[in-house]
Amino acid sequence: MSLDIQRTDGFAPVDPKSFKQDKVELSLTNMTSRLEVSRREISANKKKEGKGKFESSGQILEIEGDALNLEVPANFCAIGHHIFLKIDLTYHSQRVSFTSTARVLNYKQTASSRAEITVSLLQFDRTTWNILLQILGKRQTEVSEFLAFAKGHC
Amino acid sequence: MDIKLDEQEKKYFLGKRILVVDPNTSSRAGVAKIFGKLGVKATMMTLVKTLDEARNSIKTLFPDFVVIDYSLPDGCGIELLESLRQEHQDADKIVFIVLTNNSSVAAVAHAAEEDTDAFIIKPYTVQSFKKSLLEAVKNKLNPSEYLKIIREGKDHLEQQNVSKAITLFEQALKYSERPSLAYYWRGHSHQVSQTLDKAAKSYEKGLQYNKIHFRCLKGLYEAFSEQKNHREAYLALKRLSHYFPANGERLNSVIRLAIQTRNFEDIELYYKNFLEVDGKNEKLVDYVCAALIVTGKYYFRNELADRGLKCFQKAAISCGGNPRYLQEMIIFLAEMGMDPEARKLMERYPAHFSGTNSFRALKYYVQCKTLSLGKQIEEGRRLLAEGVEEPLLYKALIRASREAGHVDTAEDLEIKAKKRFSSQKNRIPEQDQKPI
Repeated sequence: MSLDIQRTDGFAPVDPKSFKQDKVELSLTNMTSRLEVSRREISANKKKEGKGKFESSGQILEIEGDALNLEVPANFCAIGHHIFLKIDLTYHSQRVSFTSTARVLNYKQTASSRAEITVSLLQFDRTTWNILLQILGKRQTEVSEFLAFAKGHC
Repeated sequence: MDIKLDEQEKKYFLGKRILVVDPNTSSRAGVAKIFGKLGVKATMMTLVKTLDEARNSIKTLFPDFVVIDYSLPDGCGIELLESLRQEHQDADKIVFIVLTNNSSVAAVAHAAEEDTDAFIIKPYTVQSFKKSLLEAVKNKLNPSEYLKIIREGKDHLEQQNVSKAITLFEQALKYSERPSLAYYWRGHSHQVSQTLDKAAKSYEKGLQYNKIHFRCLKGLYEAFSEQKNHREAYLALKRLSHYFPANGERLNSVIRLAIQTRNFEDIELYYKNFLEVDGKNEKLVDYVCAALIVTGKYYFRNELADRGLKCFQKAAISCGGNPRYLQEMIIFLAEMGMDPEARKLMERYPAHFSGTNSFRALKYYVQCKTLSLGKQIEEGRRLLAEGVEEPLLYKALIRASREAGHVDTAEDLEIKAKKRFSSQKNRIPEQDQKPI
């Protein structure tokens, strides 16, 4: 069926210039062993960190409900350990700092120095968590909309 | 969390082949896990780390899905699209998904330009991944009536049946709120028929509906370029570069056209784009340096010395100590009477150049302005005696000799220089020569 209404307003859902390289920073502390993984501290000055700090960072791979799959240095933790995690997300002018305790549900070594873990969030602020998820969703929607418009498949 | 699929979706994913390309083991495993939950068997998934491995895989494998990281150790993941098109006639049927940590404007625009089906930003939620995936599948498998008619028109266009193609594209116009794609294909058909005015008008019409439509923007630039309408071509390319920046080849073109159409003030804007380009090639660096120098000269000549100097400084940094560019700027500054700035630029010469004849001649040329005529001649002769036989040295020495009233000496030097450099055309730079 053809359309009666057409929009000649030269609209674009988002100006790609507004895309910013967003930052997702993850800091982890193994509450059982006191080992730490922190991207920020590592880039600042490795030598000052002393013992108990990993040289490579951790990263979030995916989020499923209240569980996260993370990549961490090998031997950072084991199944059943409790960890403290901090996620700092900056997107456009929004900045969210989320903290939580979490339990390690799965541990799988993926390379000689890296491991993938699944953690389940335990004590955290649900509102902040939802805001974080909303921001992640929003940036994906913006990118997908831009892609659809740029291709003209809309 | 389980992914719930309807029956049609479950059926669709059965037996599909997946190629996952990601340097990160855990990321590959994560994507494989999602496809596993969608019903794809592990044996149907190929997981590789690099672009090279992916290119090898597609020689024997026709994947239904490619999920590839944007930044691979040996290149950009989007490059695989080109390889797929070369290897497989039906490459358009492959759902091509780019997965990335890089949500920069350059990366997103690049994905849009290359017709990727989805661009998923890490970290992602499993739900958002599934949503993007299913949308991409839906668009591929169940295109709207609008896209179906366009596809039919494209088939006619491929068979050189241009008038039938145009009829179909015009028919498609009625099926979308924003029929930019139909206008693009109508314009493209006109372009194929060399009715370039009609082509440009069609692209413009498409942009009235959607100002960021990549193909209409690109088509408009190409139509004006074919018409040799450089001014309009530049304006179209400037619009395109605003929304889709930092493409190496296109940056060359927009810089060249900006200079050609004397839009010098835009060069600094493109310099910002240039800074964001990954893997800058020699040609692009050449274009940018030359454009900055030309723009700098333009500012100097228009009494905007501060801006001119800034352009020169940017060129000096970008050229990485290339004597060709440094010499051009140093000579210009010296001739503008900006000796301290010229000397400062000389410090950017790589250390191993400092003993070369060309460097010594340049140094002498810059120093001349601060020396008495007698000293200039004395120093010039000393350098000549030491074998510094450079055109620039002759130029300064001839000038000093003339100014000092030593006409015979100046003429002797001119004859000597012409004889010495006769085989090297333009080796003696004239006062107003603009090699760049």
